[in-house]
Amino acid sequence: MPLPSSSLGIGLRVPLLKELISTLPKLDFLEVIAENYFDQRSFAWRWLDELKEHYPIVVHSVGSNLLGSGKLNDDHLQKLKAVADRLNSPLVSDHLCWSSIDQFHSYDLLPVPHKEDLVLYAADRAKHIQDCLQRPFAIENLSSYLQFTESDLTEWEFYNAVVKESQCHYLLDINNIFVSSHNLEFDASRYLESIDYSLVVQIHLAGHEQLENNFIVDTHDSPIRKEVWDLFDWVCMQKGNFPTLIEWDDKIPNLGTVLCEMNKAGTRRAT
Amino acid sequence: MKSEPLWLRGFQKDFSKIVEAPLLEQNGTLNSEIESIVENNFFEAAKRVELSSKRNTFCRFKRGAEQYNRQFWFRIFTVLQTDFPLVCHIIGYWHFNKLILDVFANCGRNNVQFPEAVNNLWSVFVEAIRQRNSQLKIDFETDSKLFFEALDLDAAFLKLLWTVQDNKTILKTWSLHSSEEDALERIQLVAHENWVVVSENWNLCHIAHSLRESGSSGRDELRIPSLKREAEPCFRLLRIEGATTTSLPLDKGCAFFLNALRRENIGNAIDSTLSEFEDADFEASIAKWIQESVRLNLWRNLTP
Repeated sequence: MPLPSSSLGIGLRVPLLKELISTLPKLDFLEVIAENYFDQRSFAWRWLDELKEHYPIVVHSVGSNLLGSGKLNDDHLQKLKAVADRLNSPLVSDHLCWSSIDQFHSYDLLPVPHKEDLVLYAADRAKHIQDCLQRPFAIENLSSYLQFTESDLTEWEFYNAVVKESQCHYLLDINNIFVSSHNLEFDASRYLESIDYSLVVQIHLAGHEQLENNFIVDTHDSPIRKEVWDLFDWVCMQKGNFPTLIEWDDKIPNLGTVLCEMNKAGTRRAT
Repeated sequence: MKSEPLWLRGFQKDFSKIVEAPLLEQNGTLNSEIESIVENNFFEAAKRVELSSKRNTFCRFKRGAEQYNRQFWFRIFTVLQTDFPLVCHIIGYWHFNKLILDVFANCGRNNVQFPEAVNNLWSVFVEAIRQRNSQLKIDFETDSKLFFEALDLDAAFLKLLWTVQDNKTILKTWSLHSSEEDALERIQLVAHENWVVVSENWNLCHIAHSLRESGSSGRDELRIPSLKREAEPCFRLLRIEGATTTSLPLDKGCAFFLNALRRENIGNAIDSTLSEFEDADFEASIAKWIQESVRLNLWRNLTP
């Protein structure tokens, strides 16, 4: 496993930077959104270069367009590799989704029908990314608001097949599984039971928002909800510990609150 | 590399039309309404996803598709609210979002080049505001100066930020040695890109600073000063260092002198400042201003 299984970390976001650098709190790793640091001349790198002396920094991407139509973006891939190299990132991750086509950029993580004929296409692209990056590449499941009757596989069947065929790894986002299972009415435990945990290299936890119409949106703007903790507990008890990261991307509180959430994960694992 | 399934491209082209469809103005809010998208020539795109959505219930499809549609637009709104906090503050969030929606919709949904649109946004803003002034909460005729001053200041901040992020090639610095002091007047100073002198008739720098600070620490901590017209124009030095933006008040003469130094050699800048203000006190002040500008590291070729 690229990170020790007991590792606990947080997503590095700008409002947390000053406090993080001045206090250097106890945590095992940080995760950065790669695209924010593609310009290696930017001032932000001064902070990253300083922080990487104190913490392992894992690179997380949102723009590989793994399930996109058309060629993979070589320029994006080269920049992703450059960020991972400079940070000596033990792994790189991105999502099992598409985000752009031709001139259209959604700035979002969009779903596709889970069809068998897409598995090898996706796996081939993931493997190519992993080979180029020269380090483990982990594929993250996304939160979905739609599913399609054209699908001939469940989301987890599709996810498992792509990871297995690509010889890549899982970044298992437990909040995303819960959000999708609620919105699309499937059993989250079936999803979790299907995963090959020998290939899980990281877990993501985050908060979400439940709207008045009962729809759940993956907002990353609040503490982790009980239902998500329950699923996390199940994974820890049944499958063991995995490097775990707290994502808090909006309405970001002070560093202490984020670390408190991270430490909750550690406490729950220990019990 | 494996070739892609034949259906993939068509599916994503159709889906993208739904995601980027403009939101609709309804009852004072901006809403996603997939049904109206269907009516507005997106029928094929909507039908394809509708037919493929599980259980074939339009309601389920509508709820999910509208979520992606809203997310697309509100991400754009949020980015631009962050880039243009003063403009947004002055005209209000709702009008600001509507303006952005209009700007992008006018570009044509299939022709929105987001980075280019942002690069040119302030000129687009000016035109859009001129055309839509009656819908804004400000009185355009009397407050247009305020709006354009806010726009200029947001633009100045953005330009500084982008320039600093570009981190243009740093020239070899050159320190003044005592033996070269007699040549001082002939020196053409080269300004670093991280500062600019601005003038303001309202307390906009103060408001902008608060907005930017609040923006990075969460809206809950928002403490925005009230808008106040200054008795006379004020001058400020805007600087960005790392993630920190500062604005220092300047005397009118100092502001004039710093701008003159960007254009002319030191001797000519002194002459033009003295002739502009014809004030004997300025002669003493000029040495102090040069010292201060060097201390603030404003020049590439004159180091502290």
